[in-house]
Amino acid sequence: MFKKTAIYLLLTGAALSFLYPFYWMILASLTPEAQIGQLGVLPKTLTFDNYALMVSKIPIWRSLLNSTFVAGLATAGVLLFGAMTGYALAKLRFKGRELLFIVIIFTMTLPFQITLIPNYILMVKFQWVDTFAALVIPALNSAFAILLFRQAFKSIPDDLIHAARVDGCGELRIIFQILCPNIIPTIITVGIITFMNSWNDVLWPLIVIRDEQLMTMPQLVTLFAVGGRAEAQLGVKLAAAVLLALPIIAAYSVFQRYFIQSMASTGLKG
Amino acid sequence: MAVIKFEHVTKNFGKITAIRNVDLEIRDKEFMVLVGPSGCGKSTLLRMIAGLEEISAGSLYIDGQIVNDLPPKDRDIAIVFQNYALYPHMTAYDNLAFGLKIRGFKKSAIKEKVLEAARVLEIEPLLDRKPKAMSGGQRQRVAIGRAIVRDPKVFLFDEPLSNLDAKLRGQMRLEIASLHKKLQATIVYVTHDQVEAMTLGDRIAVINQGEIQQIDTPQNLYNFPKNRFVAGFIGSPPMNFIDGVIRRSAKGLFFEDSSGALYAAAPQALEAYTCRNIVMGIRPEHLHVRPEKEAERYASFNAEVQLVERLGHESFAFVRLHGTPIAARLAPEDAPEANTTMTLYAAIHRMHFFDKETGKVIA
Ligand SMILES: Nc1ncnc2c1ncn2[C@@H]1O[C@H](COP(=O)(O)OP(=O)(O)O)[C@@H](O)[C@H]1O
Ligand SMILES: [Mg+2]
Repeated sequence: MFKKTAIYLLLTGAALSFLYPFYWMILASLTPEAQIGQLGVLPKTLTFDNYALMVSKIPIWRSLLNSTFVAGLATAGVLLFGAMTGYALAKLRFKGRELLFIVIIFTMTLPFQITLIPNYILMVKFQWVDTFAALVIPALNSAFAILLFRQAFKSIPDDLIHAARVDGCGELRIIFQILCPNIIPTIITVGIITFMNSWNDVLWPLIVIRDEQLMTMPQLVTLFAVGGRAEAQLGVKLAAAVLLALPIIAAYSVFQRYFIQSMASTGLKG
Repeated sequence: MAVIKFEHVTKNFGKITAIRNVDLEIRDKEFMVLVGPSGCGKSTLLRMIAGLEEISAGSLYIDGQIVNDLPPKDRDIAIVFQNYALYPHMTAYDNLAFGLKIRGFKKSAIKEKVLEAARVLEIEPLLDRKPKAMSGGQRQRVAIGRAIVRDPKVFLFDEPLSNLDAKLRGQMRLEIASLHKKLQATIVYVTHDQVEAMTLGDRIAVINQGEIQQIDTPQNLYNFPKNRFVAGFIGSPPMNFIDGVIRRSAKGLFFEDSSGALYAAAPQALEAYTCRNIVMGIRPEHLHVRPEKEAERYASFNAEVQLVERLGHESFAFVRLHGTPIAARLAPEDAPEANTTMTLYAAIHRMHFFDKETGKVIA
């Protein structure tokens, strides 16, 4: 009994120490600039001034839309093409299949700094710089998604696919109508991780996007915070940070059940 | 109409040859059983008929047309898998309806067909359940329902009963037999269970290591096995094999077992094998504790009884003839005691003789 209480106290303490910075951030963004320095645990004066100021200075709503569009397309693309690639690597028989898989896994081990410059040069050659194409198209498939889909499809018996073929299914119908409904946790994991990675990415947009109207939210907020336009006002920066974190927190709380389940079954973390 | 014909068909998986030069013709409306030990290539043969496995060499015909490259959906076949392979996310109704939907049947027509199939298989109460909420036997019925609902010209079964318990298996065996009568379709049925093979098949193809050993009716396979493998595979307990030599005496040829304890007159056809090592085969049911019939000739020998199994209506005596294990099927009242010596009478005209090297039957 005592042991259990102690464990719960410890866990609660740990949880609070993770939550407190978020709480402070939200609270501070709602506090007048002058009072942020003396901020305690409970709010004194609440105001939306910081938010109003931020909205007036940068096209934050536009960037929210851009981010949603880019992350949404990337996620859809990864789910679509990742499932197709994973299926081929798991279930179709062709020469060089294992080699291809090894090469794909190998790309995961390359630090992105190595591919950053070549990728940028490609974007320039394709004339995709300063277009959404540079943000979306390279993100339409991922080795990580392929790996997860392949593992999930491998666990499904061949005869299920055989039954579908005899019933008249083509490959696409087999993937999306027969197999995918049976690997929902994998789809959700891949979906959330892809969406978060795309949403949080700052470096790549910084390199390929210069037009403020095309910027993603993290990019815009980062430039705003470090670029001097926030005029060293902490409250305004924090307001931008809160808006940036909200969609991810919302998505996580909706899907966390699947997320944990699938993390446990695949042994992978994001 | 559905005649299936394999012509010199071979299947390789990389370096492994799973099917070797198979010739097999399955007649219209025939119940053909493919039987053989695990890994002999039965499923591969079946999947080739379905179009799920590419053919490495040779030709496969359905109704006289080469179908080597015809996709599964255009072959008008249905298949029931060992692990049922029902779509886990669909109800039984949708499992049955799925193939019809894809083929573009109208909703009302689909409903009619599904309900009819469900009625035949008595699975109506299961229709809105998903596979997870069914027992093995129920899944089996739904899987058969998914096959018959499309009314195909060929049914393929891949060890459909192997996951059921013994009682249910016996019951489903009868149902499949009556289904065959009702459906009037060609059936190819894979099993490793020789009881299923013997009871269901019009004809049986015995397969070993990717090659067809013999194709014949169940009775002929039992009476006239072509080689030692078939002789040993069909029948339970299996045929006894006794090593020995063919010798010549004043009265004609005879067989002498290698311990010199058993002598039996041998047919004249074994002339060429005089003084050569051969193998004699005799089934457990053709060994008796006394001569059964006046007119027949028997070879008697003494053997040590190791173990006796009493099944009520019959009993098995497992004996040894100088080290060679032999099983005898006896009437319950004839069962000996273990660790005694008994005299057995082997019916001479029931003996089979095999070439020791090739295993082929020689008389
Ligand atoms: N997809 C495959 N890849 C490689 N070898 C296979 C494959 N499928 C079957 N085999 C091999 O072919 C042989 C026959 O297999 P199978 O037809 O499944 O046997 P059975 O159904 O009689 O048990 C086995 O040796 C098996 O290992
Ligand atoms: Mg098999």
